[in-house]
Amino acid sequence: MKKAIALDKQDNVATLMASAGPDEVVQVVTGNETRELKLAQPIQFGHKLALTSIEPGEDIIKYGQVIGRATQKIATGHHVHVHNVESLRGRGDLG
Amino acid sequence: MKLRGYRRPDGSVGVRNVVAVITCTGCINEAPKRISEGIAGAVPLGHNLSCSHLGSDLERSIWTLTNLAGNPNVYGVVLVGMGCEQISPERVFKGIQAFKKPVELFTLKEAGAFEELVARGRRAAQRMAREAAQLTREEADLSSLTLGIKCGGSDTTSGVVSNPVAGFVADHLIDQGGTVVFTETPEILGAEHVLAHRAASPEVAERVLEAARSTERRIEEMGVDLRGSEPTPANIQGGLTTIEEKSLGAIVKAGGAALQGVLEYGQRPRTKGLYFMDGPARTAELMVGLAAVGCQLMVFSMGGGLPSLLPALPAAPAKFPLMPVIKISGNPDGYEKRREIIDLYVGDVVEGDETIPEAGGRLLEEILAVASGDKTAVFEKAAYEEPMLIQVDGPSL
Repeated sequence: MKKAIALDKQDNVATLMASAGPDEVVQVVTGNETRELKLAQPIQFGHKLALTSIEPGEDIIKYGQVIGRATQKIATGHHVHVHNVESLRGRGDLG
Repeated sequence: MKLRGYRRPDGSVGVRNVVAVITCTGCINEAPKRISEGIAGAVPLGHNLSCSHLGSDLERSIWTLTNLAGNPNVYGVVLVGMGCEQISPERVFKGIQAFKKPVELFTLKEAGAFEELVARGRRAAQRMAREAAQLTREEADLSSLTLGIKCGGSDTTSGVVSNPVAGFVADHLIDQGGTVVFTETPEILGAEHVLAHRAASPEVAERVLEAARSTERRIEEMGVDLRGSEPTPANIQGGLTTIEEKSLGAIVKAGGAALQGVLEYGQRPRTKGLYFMDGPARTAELMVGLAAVGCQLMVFSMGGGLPSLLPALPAAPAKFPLMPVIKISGNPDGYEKRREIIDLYVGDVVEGDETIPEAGGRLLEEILAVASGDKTAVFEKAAYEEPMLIQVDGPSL
């Protein structure tokens, strides 16, 4: 089974260690714990999947830290990336 | 564990043994090239600064050139100047003398003609190269090492594999009494609180937070969105979504030791241990800064993607010969294509049959081998040459 790594127990995303297709079940590894989760869409190697359902405006957590904010609802098993997450830093465009 | 290096008069240990031919001003970058031509062990170090810069940029260039000459990998220095420049040849010369290594200064003003300047410089470079060749390597402790660590061409494997491997080595070196320096202020945005929490004193914590604040303020003053530049389009293709994510993965390369201090670009640490250099992420300027800090060696932690297909480092002076670079990568995707241009592959950690400490142990062995004279893929084999880039903040006139 393909692996996805979550780096901290608080993380709501995990990083896929091999490209996987829709409906494929992957093993999510967090430290010594593992669980299985079905992808909702194809996600490529090195990209992130949602481990829970994430509401718009909710923090995205990786390494146990905030890495950005959801700009729309992200369902469990969906791809989490620049199309649905925004950075909160270096935003000179926000005036 | 020991390495074999060259003992210098100031007590430091070089892992290379070069004669540095350095210009004070970029006006005569041609001179170091002509002076070092055909002399084994002599390296030309022209650069981008001249009287076209102001104030703190000029001061920074003076201490950077001085400290660069003081790098333990340098046996002796042939310093060349015009004789009329703002980057005072006398000040650089006096600064280098404090390192107690051979140094000679030649100016166009004194030589009277460019060819005469080249001839005088060549005689000195030839003599120093002969002296340097007489030296032999001696055993030295890990505590004599100052290791620079940079990540580049990052993707999500960087924070999971190659940076933790580099971080393991950083912790080990510091345990053994060595020094580790990391930098790239734009790439601590979103992770500065983690570093501040590890600072050895409240002053150091404030310094690291201020470094991040001032970089972010400059970005905001430009009225731009950092996204698209940080993370870069190549980072985004690799799966990195935000600068926060990139930064949190990036700081892993510095391990978990207490942060002893924040250095200005190119300035020397006063003690051993872990240091952060406040400076740019761009490889070209970063390498010059780390070499001036006194790093004898640099580990470059890479992801996959297009930057990892370059035989040299991205945006770097490939032949920057003062400081060997060990390129590591933990991205198994298309690794076969990159085998020749990566020094150490740590992707087996992804596939699960090697642990971070095991891969870290291999990196440590590679560091000792390179420190003792082994060649690396980038440092000694890359093809193109260009002048050094020193950090510039203000306008070019």
